Amino acid sequence: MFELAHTWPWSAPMEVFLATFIVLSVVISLGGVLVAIVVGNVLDGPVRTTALSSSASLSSAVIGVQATLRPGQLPHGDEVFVTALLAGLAHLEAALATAGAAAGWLRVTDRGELEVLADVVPDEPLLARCKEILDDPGAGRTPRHRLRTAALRLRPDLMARAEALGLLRAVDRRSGLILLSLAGVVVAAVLGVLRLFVSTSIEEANVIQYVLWLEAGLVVVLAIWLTARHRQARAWLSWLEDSIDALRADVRAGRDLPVGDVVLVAAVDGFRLGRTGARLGLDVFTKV
Amino acid sequence: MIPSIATVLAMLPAQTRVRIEAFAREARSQLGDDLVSLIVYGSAVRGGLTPHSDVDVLAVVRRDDAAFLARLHGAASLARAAARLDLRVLHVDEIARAADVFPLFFDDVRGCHAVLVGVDPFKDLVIHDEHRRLRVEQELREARQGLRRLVIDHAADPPTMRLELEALHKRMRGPLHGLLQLHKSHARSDLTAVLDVIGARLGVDTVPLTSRAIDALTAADATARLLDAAIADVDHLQTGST
Repeated sequence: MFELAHTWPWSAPMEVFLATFIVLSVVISLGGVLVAIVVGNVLDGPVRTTALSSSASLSSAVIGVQATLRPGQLPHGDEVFVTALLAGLAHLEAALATAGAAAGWLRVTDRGELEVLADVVPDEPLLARCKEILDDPGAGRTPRHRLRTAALRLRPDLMARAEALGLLRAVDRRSGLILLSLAGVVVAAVLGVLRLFVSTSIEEANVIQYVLWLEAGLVVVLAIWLTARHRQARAWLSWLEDSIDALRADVRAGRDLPVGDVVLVAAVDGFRLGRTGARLGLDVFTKV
Repeated sequence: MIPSIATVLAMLPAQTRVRIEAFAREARSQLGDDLVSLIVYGSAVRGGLTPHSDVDVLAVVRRDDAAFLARLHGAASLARAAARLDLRVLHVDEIARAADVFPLFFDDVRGCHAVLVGVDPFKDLVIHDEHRRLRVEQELREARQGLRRLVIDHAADPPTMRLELEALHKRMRGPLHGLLQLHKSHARSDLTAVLDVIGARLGVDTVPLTSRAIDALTAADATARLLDAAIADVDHLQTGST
């Protein structure tokens, strides 16, 4: 190992080594994230699809039993909010706001404020909770803040639902994958340690250390973001995006549609609701 | 005109075709022998399908209890979301019995459809001209009343009035085509052809109905003239059966 430390790039001048180290360590660290993603997919197993002719899908459609959200079947009832959460927090905000505005218990006033109408009570418990949160003056000053608060407070339950449906990975698997994604940073650290055999510069050691800490932080953030969703969830969202083309076009064109249809498009596309968004007063959320 | 289903499907956008075929497979699988036929009709067959058009599909079934129909829920909602499939379901016994109250709808489907699954249930259907005449008159009078309301509602908004007039013209296509059938005229059933032939027959200029260069109020007046002439015509018709 000592001999290896005397070969290029470890033997290079400080500036050359640091530049090479930063490039190499970034690539290797990102490689670690990639490995974690691949391992996660392998552990997830094959993507399951719903054969519509199966009796399971039939019974869920008829009697409203929660079905696992799989390619081949549109979400029913409040499954759409689980779907929105999987697509991202902004999508959940869009789905909640759209559900409220389309059902008539939420209104964006001309002054751009959210108004919750007391006399309309949502049937779904999740929306009833959302309404309570939005009605709370402490939820935030701007409509966006209040919506974000509502989405954040509803998220734990929806995450539990998504995990139960096999769409989010279990906590222990997520933790394992995050640790695995740090393997690249460990390899990069070894490269840095080898340099210390030939360099006694404190300044250089500090730079290597800062770079490694920065990379470790970035890798953890990336890994949390990229390894939470089960492979099944990505397949589900991808299938759903392709399966609502006509509905999406109708919503954007402002066609009169049932509330559930508009909420489904909001769950998948966020606030990009075109004329329907403008009609519901939700275009305030797409304006920068 | 009864084109082959292959011809009709070939005319559809690829994405729509795939979804319709998937729906047909699913319907056959879910309903089995109780699905008598699955038919595509409307603009998908007649021509004039736009990216915003519904794809009209008619299912003819032997059973219509709730549990049976619910089997189609998943496939129908998916086909609607993906390809704007608009499903209508008829019981097989209903076709002959309802021909007196739906003569124009049945004429429309019978005259221009393609069979996706099963047999053609409209092949031997008899529709009486008297039923056609009554339905034509009813729908034309409804259109005339709707036109008055439309003008009042949208007088201050000409672009919206234009759009509403276009929608009204689409609704008028069926009864006007029915009127032509009562006159034993075999005009094509698309809106442009129907307006051309009926306009010539009744001596009404139909150009203002479709010309974008003409203002909405003038188009509304032209529509009213056409409807008045058509109502007067159907009111005095002597009818038989076909």
